[in-house]
Amino acid sequence: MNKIVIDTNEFNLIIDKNENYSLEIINTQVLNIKVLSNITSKVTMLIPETNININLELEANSNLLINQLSIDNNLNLDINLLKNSNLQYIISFLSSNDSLNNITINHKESNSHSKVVANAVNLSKHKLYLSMNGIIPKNSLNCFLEENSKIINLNNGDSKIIPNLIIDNKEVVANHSAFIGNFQEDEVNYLKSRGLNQETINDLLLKATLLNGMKLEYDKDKFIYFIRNYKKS
Amino acid sequence: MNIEIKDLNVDVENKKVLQDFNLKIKPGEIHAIMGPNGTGKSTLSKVIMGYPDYKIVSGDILVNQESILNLEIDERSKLGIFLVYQNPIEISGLTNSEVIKASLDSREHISLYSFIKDLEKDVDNLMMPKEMLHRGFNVGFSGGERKKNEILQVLMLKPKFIILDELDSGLDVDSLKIVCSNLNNYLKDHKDTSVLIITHYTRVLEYLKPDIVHMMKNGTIVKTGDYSLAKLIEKHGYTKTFDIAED
Repeated sequence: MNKIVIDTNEFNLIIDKNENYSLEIINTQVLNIKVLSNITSKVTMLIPETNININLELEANSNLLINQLSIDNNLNLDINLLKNSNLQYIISFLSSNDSLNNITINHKESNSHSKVVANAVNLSKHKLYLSMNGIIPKNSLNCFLEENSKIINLNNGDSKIIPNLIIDNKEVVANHSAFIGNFQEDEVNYLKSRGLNQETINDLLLKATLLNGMKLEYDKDKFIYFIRNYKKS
Repeated sequence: MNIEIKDLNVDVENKKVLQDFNLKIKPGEIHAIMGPNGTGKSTLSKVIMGYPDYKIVSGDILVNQESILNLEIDERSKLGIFLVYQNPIEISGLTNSEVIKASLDSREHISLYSFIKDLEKDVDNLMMPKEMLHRGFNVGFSGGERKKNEILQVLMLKPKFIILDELDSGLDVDSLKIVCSNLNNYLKDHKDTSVLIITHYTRVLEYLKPDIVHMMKNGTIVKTGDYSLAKLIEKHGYTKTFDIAED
């Protein structure tokens, strides 16, 4: 595991070995990540209170799993996938200020696969927008694209999900799901029936939402620490 | 725990689901309620637990002579009421041990060491794989594993009144024996704990012997007896047993 704390305006990360990375990003405006051909890697990213542009490119036959926790970000994420590349991107947003986020997944070449899961919690009445754009052009055959977005809107905030699938090819699988609402009533009542009060349930389900689907081996405690302390503050 | 349900009438979405319902359970007693589908058995369990969708029109529920109608679900749980769900839900992102630890913490402080020791002992007794403790709560569990997980919570949280809603659904014979053996051991050690078994079939009653059996129809109890009533229901079915009772 390569641990990197990034605090420069712009940072380039070239992944050229089958190694994993843990990134903590502070005040960085542009982050460029490129995964070279035939490389398999896993990246965890913690991005607290930053407006950031992330450009991600997966070269041919590469595989990447990203687990990302974004706290009070405005994020622009551009993803470009080349031939036979495979991306799984689990990203969680926690915000109590305006947070405008734009994610574009561009399947530039054939046989590229992507699954992007965005789980978000809006703690305030501010804006939390997720714009999810999946693009498969005419010349990209046999691609698979899936984008799932969920916002837990705890205080009737201004939350929006804007899913766009721009598909110009019939030989692909592309789908999306979007949900905005509160925690599921049956989950809340079940936990209450075990003696937990609403505040404890909110804490547990908030963490559950933000960490759902993530495969965190080393950074789980750090993510939980940031979630708890952010909520308290 | 002493439970008394007095002349209870309950509506849900303007439909009567419990009518003039009366039930008394003394400390240490095991009662069984049997009845056909849609007669209000599971509704009763949710009403006792305090689910907000059910409107109490009249009547009362007393625990140790005190009304619990004004208590929230979590307050009733902390009083010692525990519902073993017919279909326990799954919660992604929360582990089993996390939910159980948080539930225990809501009652009393317990050291992490004692918690782990007790949890591992109970998991062994229920013949559950230890790794299930660290998986998502009921995520990927079979019906039987979910039921065992419910009983694990009973053993850890030590309730004083246990409602078992269709305990045997989803459990194979071996698992039902294990689960009931654990419950019987628990009841041996906690003699004041009362139990309400809600069931269609007599299978579970062979392992958890009830002191009193009730037959329920259209939201009310129509017949009360001992274990022989359960046998009668098994032999004749609900309709005929009801007719026999009427005669």
